[in-house]
Amino acid sequence: MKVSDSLHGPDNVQDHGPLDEQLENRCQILMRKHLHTVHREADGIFAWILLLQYAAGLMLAVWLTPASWSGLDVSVHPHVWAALLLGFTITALPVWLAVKQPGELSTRLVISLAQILWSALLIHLTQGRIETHFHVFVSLAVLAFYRDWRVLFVAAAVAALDHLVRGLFWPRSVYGVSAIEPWRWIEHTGWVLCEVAFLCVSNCQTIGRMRQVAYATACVESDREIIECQVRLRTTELCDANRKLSEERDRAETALRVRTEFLANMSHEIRTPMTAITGFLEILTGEESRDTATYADAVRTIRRNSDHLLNLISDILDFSKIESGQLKLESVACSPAALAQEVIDLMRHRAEMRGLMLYLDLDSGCPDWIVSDPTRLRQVLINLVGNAIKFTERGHVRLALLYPQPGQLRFEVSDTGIGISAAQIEHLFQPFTQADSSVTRRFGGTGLGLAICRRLVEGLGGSISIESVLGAGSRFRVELPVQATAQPGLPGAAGTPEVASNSTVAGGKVLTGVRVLVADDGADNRKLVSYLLRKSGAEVTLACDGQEALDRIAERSEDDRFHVVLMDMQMPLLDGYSATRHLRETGDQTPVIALTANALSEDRQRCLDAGCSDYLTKPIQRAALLDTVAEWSAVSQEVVATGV
Amino acid sequence: MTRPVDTTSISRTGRMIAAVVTLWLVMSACGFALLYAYVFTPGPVDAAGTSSSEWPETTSIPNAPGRWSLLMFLHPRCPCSRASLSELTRLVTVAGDALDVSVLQMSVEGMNSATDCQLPRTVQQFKNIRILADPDGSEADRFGARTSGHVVLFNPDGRRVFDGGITIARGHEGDSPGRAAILQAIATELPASPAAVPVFGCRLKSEVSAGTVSDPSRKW
Repeated sequence: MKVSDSLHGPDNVQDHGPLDEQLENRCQILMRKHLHTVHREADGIFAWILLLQYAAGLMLAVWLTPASWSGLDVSVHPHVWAALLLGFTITALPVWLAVKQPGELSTRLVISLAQILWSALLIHLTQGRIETHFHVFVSLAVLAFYRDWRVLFVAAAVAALDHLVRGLFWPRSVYGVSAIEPWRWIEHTGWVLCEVAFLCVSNCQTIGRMRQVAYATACVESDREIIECQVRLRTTELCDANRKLSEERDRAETALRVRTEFLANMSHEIRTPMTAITGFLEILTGEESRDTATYADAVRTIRRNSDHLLNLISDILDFSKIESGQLKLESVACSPAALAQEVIDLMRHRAEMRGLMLYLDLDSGCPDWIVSDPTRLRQVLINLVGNAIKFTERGHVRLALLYPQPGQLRFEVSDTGIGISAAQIEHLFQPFTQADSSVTRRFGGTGLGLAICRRLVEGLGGSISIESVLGAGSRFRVELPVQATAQPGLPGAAGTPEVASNSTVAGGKVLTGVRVLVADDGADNRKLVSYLLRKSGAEVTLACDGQEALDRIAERSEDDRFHVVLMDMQMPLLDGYSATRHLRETGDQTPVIALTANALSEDRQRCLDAGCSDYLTKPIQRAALLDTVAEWSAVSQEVVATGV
Repeated sequence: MTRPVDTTSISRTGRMIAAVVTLWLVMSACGFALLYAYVFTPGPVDAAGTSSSEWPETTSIPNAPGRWSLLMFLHPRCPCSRASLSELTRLVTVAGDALDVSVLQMSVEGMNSATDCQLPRTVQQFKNIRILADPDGSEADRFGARTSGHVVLFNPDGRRVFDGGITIARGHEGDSPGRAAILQAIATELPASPAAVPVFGCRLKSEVSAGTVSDPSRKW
């Protein structure tokens, strides 16, 4: 902010460019305004002076020359008529202009003329008294109030013209002689001009001081404007900052409230299945376990609630990864038709349990193979179909796979369920919210499923939308941009589960003679895995950490070596990655199957990079465990047999 | 947003004001012209040759032998004659005892005597100025005076050497041809200009009773 020096007058202003030009312009405006005020005020003063002069002239005429005589005959003296009529003429116009057009140049020039004319008239009315001549000089001095040299010069010019004309035509009236003496006119005019000159000098000085004041005022105004602008700017910034802080606070409070509600919901959601699990476990350990029906029902209940709890934890973990931007999506070849069929197969039992029909419509024009993330697509479809089944009490659920135009794939999940109102749809895809609180009570759920679906679909470049009629049903539509591709030749391509969910369960003692090392720091996990393997005929050795696992492997002879190592990747002392890496560095090619809780592809790849042969995700499914161990134990035995 | 300036209206207003000011100036000039015309319009004078050039024998005014005799005829209420009286005092001051001055004052209604008239006090201070009454104006007729402020000057031999006024205009004091002529006549003992010097003042008698020649330039 540049604060100008208010003490600088116009004579001291340095050329600093646009700012000084603005100040100069403003100074001119203020000067004109001030002068206009001065002129208006002076016009008002002179209007009264002229009126007073008119009254005085009339009184003088009546007092000094009231009558003209002709013997005994008397008449009104011409001076009285002159004072009345000529005086009125001289006074009327300037007074009218002073009232109607105050401050104008024409007004003050007419006033100047009238004032000098009044001097002439008063001199006549007082019969040439020398003292009355002072009226001229007094008039000039008062006219200086206008601060306008033109006013003074007009008055002086009229006085000079009066002397010149009367000197030419009535010299006696001016100089008392009959002959014209030009120098006498110059002498008389000179005195007037002398006064005018001094008055002009005084006016110039006054104007100069007024200009300085105007300039200082302009500087003050400029500074004030700058300061006000700064204040407004700061105020705006403060208001914006306050508003943002307020918004942030509101968001934080909302997030805190939402998370608090979520935690409360989660607590309820977690405790609910846990209550069932712990309750029925008590039943299993109690007298009631002897009843086979009760036992079977308890086991089913525990299983169901365990699955629900697992899904809940998966949803929470997924959502957290999505929110923190850590979710990585794959771009691999997959079959959309196979995916859809897989989802139908998975959900068919659930639909039949509720007495619903489950349909699958496939568009023949749909490409056989596309590039996408089959895991996430499956997750989305399972969620949508699962919701449709959950919220439909009678009728059907339909999954349609459409290919409306090249490069665009559409999944539609429609149902004949309870439907969703328009107001509820607005918040449906927001996390931790459901249609309303009654849904939570009636149908359960975390309120994360649709939020996860939306983020996954948007992460795949697509969009998800809903149409619904309350009481009639809903239709969820997933639109994805896709690229058709050729059928992959590598095993494990999408369309076939990487871990077969419908794999044949190894029945009987299919693992007889298979020596398995289980390395896991969790005692319960060791117990569970060893139980499953031993039940299938395997010979199981346990280790608590990676170092113990290496020790156990080293203790074995060539004939007695382990066929398969099940390695938990997160262990103390020496984790699974390091232990596997060490094993490979020593040349040991025993198949190592990673037991990992991370289902992301990069985690799997990390396991494979460490030297693992395969992986199983926790919680471990019995069928997947036995199949994988059987598969790799067969490979291991074949390697031993062929010596490769 | 500033209002557009109506230049047409402004120029029309300007022309109107200019016309009004011009008219005003013309009217004022005419008024002053009439005023000057009145101021410089002398009073009536006798026709040429009707006044005697010698001191009238029928007058009751005493004539101081061996001295210059100056008579001034006054209308006591003529405002313009104040200047004439002031000029008279200047004459007396310059001329001194050589001049014997008589002021003849007409009578007007309401006046009891000559001493009741309103004369400048300075006149009364001069011991060689007599104030005489001429109630019916006979002396004025005798000497041919028709206008207040009329001055006649006789030399010690009783011969009229000056006849006229001693002011330059009605009611205006100052140097005048009349005063200069009188002083010159006294100094040189020669008659003043034979042409009558205008007298500025009121009529001593009304027009009907005066029977005077009207000054064609007089308009009042």
